[in-house]
Amino acid sequence: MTATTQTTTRPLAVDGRKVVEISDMKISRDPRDVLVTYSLGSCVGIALYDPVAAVGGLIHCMLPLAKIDPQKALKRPCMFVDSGVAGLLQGLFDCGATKKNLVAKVAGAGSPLGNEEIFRIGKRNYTVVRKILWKNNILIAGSDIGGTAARTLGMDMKDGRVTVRVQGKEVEL
Amino acid sequence: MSTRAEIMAKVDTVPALPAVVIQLRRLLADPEVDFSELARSIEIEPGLTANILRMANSALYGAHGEISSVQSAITRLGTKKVFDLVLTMTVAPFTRRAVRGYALGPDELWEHSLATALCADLLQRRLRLRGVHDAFTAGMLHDIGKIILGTFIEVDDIPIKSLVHDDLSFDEAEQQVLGLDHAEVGGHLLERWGLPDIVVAATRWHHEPAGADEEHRKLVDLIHVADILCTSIGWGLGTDGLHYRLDSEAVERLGVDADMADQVMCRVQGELEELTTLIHVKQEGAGNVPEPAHR
Repeated sequence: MTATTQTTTRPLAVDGRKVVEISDMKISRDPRDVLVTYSLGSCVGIALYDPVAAVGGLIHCMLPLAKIDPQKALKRPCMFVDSGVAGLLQGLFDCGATKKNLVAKVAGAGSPLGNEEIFRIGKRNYTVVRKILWKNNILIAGSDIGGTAARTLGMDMKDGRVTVRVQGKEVEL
Repeated sequence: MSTRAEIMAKVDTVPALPAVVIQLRRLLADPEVDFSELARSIEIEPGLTANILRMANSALYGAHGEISSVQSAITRLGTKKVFDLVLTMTVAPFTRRAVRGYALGPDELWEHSLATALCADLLQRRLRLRGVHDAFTAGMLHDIGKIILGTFIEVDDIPIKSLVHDDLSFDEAEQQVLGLDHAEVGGHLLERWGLPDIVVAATRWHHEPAGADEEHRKLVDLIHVADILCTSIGWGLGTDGLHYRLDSEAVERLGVDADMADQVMCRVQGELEELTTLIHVKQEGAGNVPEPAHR
């Protein structure tokens, strides 16, 4: 498991919580909002925040590539990492974010036990995340990736602080 | 801490599966079943009737022209789809509850069971597996043992969680602490409910497909893979997380690859969303479900 984290005792605010479902995303510039997504297993949650424009977004993607089902990708682009992150970036740019200011934090991409795991959904998801962000010159500033635990990822729009909750323990990315 | 014997004794106090399911199974086993008799066995349950009519009139099943009788609904949907819906509704009062011992909120186990049922059914059709008829049923019921351990008994999960590590899965930790795991408990309950041996086997061996008899192998493999895929996506992720082992031999026997898994999971999400919108289950329908024991 890769974790670039520090412990924190400040929980995410409950007021203004906006839940991002599986294959969904939310963009906000309201400092009262907390964007949160639950049950990250092999899925990936990606939080992007521009501290200058004070705008951010959170997405929960299920599978790596839209080409596996182009019809579904038209209807639900956030289901896939490639089409979903492209849509999230465009939505953030439309709200005034600039590429050079975006800070990315990523969590999830877990997998069941066993080195011989065949489907590798989590690993494939994270590979596509890294590739797309790298192509856009956006560094991943914090991540909590891999392993077998269920994760909850949240972003406080007051300051772009991103936290991951695992087994009742919350850490800041 | 509950012992194996205490847990098994508790299983024997769980009420029987509602009669409508048993009766429908019996009727559907007859290839020349009389649809009017089938309809009558459903119409005695108003909740079932309303849901079957809603489903038959939905775009999901290509509805054209409104129908208002159960017999017409059976003709439109087919007997298998009707049985799947009856089973889904029948187990809903059990599986829609929060399962505290696994940190699953209300509806989370129900969503996982339904997703696994849809996934197993889609994989079975995609793989054209011959002689496998109970994929949906087994998917819907495979984790029923979690309700016994996590709700009726409320097993203390701390010693179990403290044991799990990279070489010991959650079900293996359950076996070490309790003397049995949720799969064995579920198999025992389904046996008591009189479900077919193959459905009992799929539940009993869904984390250890190698343990199943050869005659049950295909369905056991199917439920094993569907369960792991649906948990991975996040449907029913509890305190046990992804701490289960995927049996690569089961995957190879079935012939599922990563592309097929991705395609099937796309469809599962779509069908899951549509079905959970369509199916209405009144909570008071849980009439014969006992309250969980409290420690």
